[in-house]
Amino acid sequence: MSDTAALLAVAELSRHHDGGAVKALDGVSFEARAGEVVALTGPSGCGKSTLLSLIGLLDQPTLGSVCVAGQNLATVRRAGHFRLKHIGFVFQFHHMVATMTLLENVAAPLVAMGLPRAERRARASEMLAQMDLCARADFLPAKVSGGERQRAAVARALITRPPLLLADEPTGNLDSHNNSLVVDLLMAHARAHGALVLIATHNPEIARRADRRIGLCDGRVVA
Amino acid sequence: MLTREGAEPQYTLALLRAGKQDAAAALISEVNQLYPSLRAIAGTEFSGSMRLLRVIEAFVTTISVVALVGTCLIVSNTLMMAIAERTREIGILMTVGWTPWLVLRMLFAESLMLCAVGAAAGNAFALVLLRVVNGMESVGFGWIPLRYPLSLAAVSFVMALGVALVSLAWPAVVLYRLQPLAALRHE
Repeated sequence: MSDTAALLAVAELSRHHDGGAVKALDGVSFEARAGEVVALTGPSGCGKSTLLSLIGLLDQPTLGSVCVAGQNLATVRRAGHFRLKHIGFVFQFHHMVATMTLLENVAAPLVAMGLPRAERRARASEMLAQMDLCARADFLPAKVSGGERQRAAVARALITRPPLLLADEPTGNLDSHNNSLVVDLLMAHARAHGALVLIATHNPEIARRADRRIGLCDGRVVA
Repeated sequence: MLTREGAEPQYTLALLRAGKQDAAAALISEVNQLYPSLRAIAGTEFSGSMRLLRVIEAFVTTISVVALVGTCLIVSNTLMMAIAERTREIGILMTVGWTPWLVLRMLFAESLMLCAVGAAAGNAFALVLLRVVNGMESVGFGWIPLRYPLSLAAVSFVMALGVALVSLAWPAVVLYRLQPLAALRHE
């Protein structure tokens, strides 16, 4: 894989805690191209979530570097703007704002983009329709099912059409029906928009469906 | 001359020049005898009253400044509690691309709303208090304005805006230091 083709390049990435006593991530290196679906697998505590946090600019590495779309994240000064432009997140526990309706939650990234209210509502409604959540648009997250919440979280992550989508155990709390629905949506986004989708998962079925699998153990790449 | 609502206009103060100093006492005595409903006093006594008024004004100004500082602290503390209660939500919003500035703007709207409601309530209270005080016969007519000046209401709203802005300073520092990952993990 050449450097120019890689949307994501991770080099010797380490994240240590307690002065190096705990190595959550230890010299991880890999590259991934646009349009790929990559599954990050490994036991709990192996560093999957830490890796996604570092790639998503939610945390700072102790050593090593991450380049997204050719830009070294260490040189990014406005993390919020960079995330908005390049990165979408889907978490295991959906992380919806409890006081906002599903529509407002999905439209939240568009607020940061400075779009007018009417356009935000139109785009969020369209995205919710794609997730089959039209009827739930004005519901608060607490009033809908777990599967619906997670689909709304996927809608929120996809509404800006990010070239890099990070999904941390996106199906961890879902039944098998919603599980495959959410994975289908993530895969469809990768195929339709040429996005790189990085999924941290314990689910062997998701790992099987991914284009590539990266195994982690004790903070290191093992396969 | 001042006019009380529903009453005839009244003179509240007249200054008489006595010429020589010893003539002042005679003039005061004459006025008090001829017009028992009026009260004549010497200029020195009047200037003493004016000094007292200036002391009262300084006292009221000090109280106002203390009240403003106190209000800033209360509003700031309210916003800090809002940040503490909504740390996770703020983390979520930062994760989806919101900048601290955007979160701050949202908090500013809330702070402004608090202060505007406070200013409106304060003005309404002042209006009622003014009517009550002006209705009291024991309060000297003319010492207190009869109508609530609109300029004072405008100043109070400008001050409310100032309080809203100043109150944001500490919450802004906290927000800019907040890391999205730590905020997401906040319980």
